[in-house]
Amino acid sequence: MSSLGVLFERLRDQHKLWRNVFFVVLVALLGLNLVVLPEESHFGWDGYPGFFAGFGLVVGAVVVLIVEKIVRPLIARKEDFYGDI
Amino acid sequence: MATSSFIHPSVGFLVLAVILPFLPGRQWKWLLLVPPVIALFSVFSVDPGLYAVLPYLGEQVTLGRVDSLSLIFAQVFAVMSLIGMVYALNVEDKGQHIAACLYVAGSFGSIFAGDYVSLFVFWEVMSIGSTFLVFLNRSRESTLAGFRYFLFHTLGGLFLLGGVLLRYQATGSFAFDHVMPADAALYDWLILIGFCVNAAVVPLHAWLPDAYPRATVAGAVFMCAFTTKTAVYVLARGFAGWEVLATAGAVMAVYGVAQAIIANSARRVLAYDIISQVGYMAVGIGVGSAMTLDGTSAHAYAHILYKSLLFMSVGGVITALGTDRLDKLGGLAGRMPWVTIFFTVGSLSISGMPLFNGFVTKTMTIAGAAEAQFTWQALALEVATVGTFIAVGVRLPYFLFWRDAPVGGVANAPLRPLAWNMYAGMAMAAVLCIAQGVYPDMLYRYLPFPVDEPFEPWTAWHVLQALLMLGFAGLAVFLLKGVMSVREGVNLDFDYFYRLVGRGLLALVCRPVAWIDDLWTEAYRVIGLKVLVLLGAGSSWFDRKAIDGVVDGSAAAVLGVGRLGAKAQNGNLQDYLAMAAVLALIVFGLVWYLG
Amino acid sequence: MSATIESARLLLPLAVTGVAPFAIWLARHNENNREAVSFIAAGLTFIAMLTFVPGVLAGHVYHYTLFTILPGITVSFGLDGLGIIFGLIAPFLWGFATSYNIGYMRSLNEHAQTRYYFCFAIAIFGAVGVALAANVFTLYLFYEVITVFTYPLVAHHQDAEGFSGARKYLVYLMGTSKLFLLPAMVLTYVLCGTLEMNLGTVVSGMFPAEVVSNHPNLVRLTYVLFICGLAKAALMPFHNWLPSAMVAPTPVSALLHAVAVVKAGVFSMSRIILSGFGVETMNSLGLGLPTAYLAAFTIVVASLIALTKDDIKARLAYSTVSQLSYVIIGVSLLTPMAVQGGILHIANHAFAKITLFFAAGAIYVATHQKKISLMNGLGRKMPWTFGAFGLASLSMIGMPPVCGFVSKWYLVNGALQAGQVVLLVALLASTALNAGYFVPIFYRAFFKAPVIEVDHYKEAPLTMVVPLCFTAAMSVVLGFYPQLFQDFIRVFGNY
Repeated sequence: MSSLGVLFERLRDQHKLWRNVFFVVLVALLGLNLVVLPEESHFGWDGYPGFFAGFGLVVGAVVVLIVEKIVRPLIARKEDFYGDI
Repeated sequence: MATSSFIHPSVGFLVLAVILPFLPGRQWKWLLLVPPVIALFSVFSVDPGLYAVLPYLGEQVTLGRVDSLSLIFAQVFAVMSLIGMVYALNVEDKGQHIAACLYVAGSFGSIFAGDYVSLFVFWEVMSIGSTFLVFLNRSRESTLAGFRYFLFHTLGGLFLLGGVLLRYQATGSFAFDHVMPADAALYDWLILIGFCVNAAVVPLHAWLPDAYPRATVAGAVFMCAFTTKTAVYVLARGFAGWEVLATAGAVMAVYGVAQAIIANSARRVLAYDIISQVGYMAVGIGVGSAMTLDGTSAHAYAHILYKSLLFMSVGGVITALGTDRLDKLGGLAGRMPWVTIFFTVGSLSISGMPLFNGFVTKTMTIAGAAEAQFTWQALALEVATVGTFIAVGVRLPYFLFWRDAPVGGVANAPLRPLAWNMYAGMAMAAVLCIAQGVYPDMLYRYLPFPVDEPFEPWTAWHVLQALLMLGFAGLAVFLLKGVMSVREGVNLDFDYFYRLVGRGLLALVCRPVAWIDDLWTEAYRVIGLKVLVLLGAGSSWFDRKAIDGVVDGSAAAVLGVGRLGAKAQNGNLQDYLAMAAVLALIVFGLVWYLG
Repeated sequence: MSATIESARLLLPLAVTGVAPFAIWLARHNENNREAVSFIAAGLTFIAMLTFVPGVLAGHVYHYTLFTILPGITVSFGLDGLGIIFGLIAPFLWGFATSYNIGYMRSLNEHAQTRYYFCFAIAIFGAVGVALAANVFTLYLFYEVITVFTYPLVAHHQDAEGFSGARKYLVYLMGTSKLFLLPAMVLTYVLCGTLEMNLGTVVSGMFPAEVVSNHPNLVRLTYVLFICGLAKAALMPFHNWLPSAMVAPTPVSALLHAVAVVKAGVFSMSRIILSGFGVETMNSLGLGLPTAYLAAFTIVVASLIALTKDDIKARLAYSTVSQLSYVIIGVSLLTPMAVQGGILHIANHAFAKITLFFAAGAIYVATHQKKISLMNGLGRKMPWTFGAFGLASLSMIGMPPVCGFVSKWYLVNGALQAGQVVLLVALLASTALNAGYFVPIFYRAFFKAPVIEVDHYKEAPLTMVVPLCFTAAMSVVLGFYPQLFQDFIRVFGNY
């Protein structure tokens, strides 16, 4: 395995560390959001701090839940459903 | 009318397609790079104007309409054709290269077409070329998918042709220009439908996730760039400001990511994401302001670069392991580090992460849509951005590279090495993605429509907004990681209905009609018999066998239904001549009597 | 500017094709001499027709009366823009068909080859005669010659299937010509006092204006009788002889379905509609549109049936039925673009269809396969054959840049010129249907895994493969240079 590959493997092994870094960054971003705000708001609420954070979290969760829990059970079929393979 | 000269980029590709079968040896591969270089030179050196106005089929067709809109698309096509050819250098199958050349030639031709006739011709050439890129994968799946692809695109082309002809009948002209929404006639809608097939507008989109995952590795790289973006160009040219497109685009954007999040094949995830991204472009065209049209053009440019990068990386995985099924893969970060890096660049670009070109392009369209009061469409695009990040930015790389490989699966098999040119192609695209992200002006200076307040992507707020939204979407995925899964199988799409229509036509129309024909084909015996029996009364006088001697064996078959009837039905020539004479006399008599 | 030129030179092509059969019979003991006669005759006939090209392009009409049977009934020949198209194609393709015949008949060691070449030559004689016919009687005479002398070709195998198919062939063609065409000719004579058609212009035919206004229904009846009588044009419901004639050896099918029989049919119909009745009469009696709708019906229904056929020749036969009606729909729509498209299709279809049948025969000679579902993977063993098949299919579908696109373009524009959107839709639907039944043959051959053992197969003999590649190449050439035939049509119709 190349040295770059070894590096990536080590990064993979450290995933708990990376997870913590991720959380720290998220908190920092939220903090920045109190200070840095848009010039004009497009949707009305996007002027408020935390809007896009909430948007990303909620929309992300809702999309994943709807798609995995509702949509997928309805339309999932076997690999060779149409007999093409 | 041309002051400077214009080398039409298609020419190089067409010439190469024609001569390639006849080139011997192994060195012909380097010729593959020549047409893209010519195309690049041509695109950067030509002045706007109308070139190559030629007579064809009784009309004057314009093959070279060069202006800022066609030039920006042509520019990215030229860049992409070079990247694609570099990536495909290791492919030995000449057929794939010929198909790719025809395909790219068709795309360039469509971009520069100034009238509907040449557009239609190049549109069909594109369709043929891309069909072969699917066929040449040579698996049973691919063959059938290629056929469905061709049929569907032929149908789309027929809508286009029908609209073009009706338009010609009504207006007397084949000129391809912008249509005001207020002036829309039936034929404009037909042309729009034809364009929407290639743009993969829902519900005419199912050909894309059906065919793209089944194309050849290099073929899919070409296909992801050209068909849909040519459609985006023609929509921008002809239908800017048509609000229905904004709505359609919003639907496409959300539908695409929804399917992408649950697809099991990596190329199918990317294919659905194409639909989503083209949705952004459709919204931009539908809004129709200078800023959103610029946003569409910029997004198309960036999308070609990062989508091809993604397809190239996944193509690398397929080359190495033979599959792109997410349920079978994992842990490739260590084993294929460079592919991982290139893929990451692509996925961060597509998600709109700052420092990459997606960030400087997507936001333009959304901002423009919101400013033009298309609020819910803009909101839908923001939702799609979250979805894209989840599907392509998180899920796909996790299951391909970062998670542990499933035990005993194909992911642990020895890797087939990738050719150097594949890495080169990926590197070229990756470099451009980053360069445009860091220095957006290199893209912005080619945007077709001047705006009063140029869009500034690199503001503190824009960066923060992107990071916030993407970051917290990532958090959502983290919290729900038990819910997201990959398992074997496919998800139904609208092609279920297309196939239903096809099978229905065969069963409900074709077979009954053939059955009726089979009955009717025997009717000659019954009808012919009855009629000729009545008229054959006097035919027994003419029984010469002279003709029989020359015409071997003519008397062998005789129906056993009575001598007179047999005479009528035995196909004996002399009998027919005799009956003819009798008939002629009867008719002559009638006419004399009546006339 | 245009003149009628009396020229005995018109007899030259007829003389060559008339003498050739006897020369073939005389040379019957030496195969190669015998085949050489066919080649030489094809070449001479073609050259003879070529000598008329400059005159025809200048707008002249050639004419020659051979002899008179009764007052007003003569055997006369004439040549104008329409006739020269058929007159050039028939001998040109005869040359290729002869090469192909050699490969086919000798590879399969067929019996009665002299009779075969003899009848082939006479069939071409009949085709040339139809092309050069200046009046209805001559047309009828040579039309029947074709029928009589293709009968032994259809029945060639002399087995039960062969005789049954040939019998049906004869019943259909002779039956319709005796029941309908002959009375039509008689009626025409009675109404017009002459059988001479009006060559060189499409506007007025042979029916004087007073006749049309005084006896409109009789003229209409005459027209209907003509249409029913020309069953060689395979207009529904008189089309069934065509698929049944597939029992013939494939070169015969190629000849029948591309060169002699069906082209004589649609040519005769075009001749009757344009030179017999003329645009003015057709319009004043409202005869064009019903014919066009019947043709549209044939186009669509024949394609629908073709989708269900697994035998390659059956599928090609129904495709022919469909494509012939392209010519009829064009000619009967009567608008300038439609007529140009229809007549151009006579040429375009000939080249593409002969390629397809040549390919089908080559496949049979090389593999003895007739069923499409068994042809998987053959393309890799017979790339030239299937490649040519693919090109010719593109022409049938009407894709640029092959010739079929050009005639389709003119036809759809012509349908719009006449304001007929339904016919436009029928033509467009036909495109999709053609794709539906031609593309599978192509992709099966090249991209599907074989279902039977194919490794030992290879291309058919060169005498078969070269002609079919050449005719396929001609399809592409005609797509880029449709002017080759378009100029004749422009002169003919004064467009």
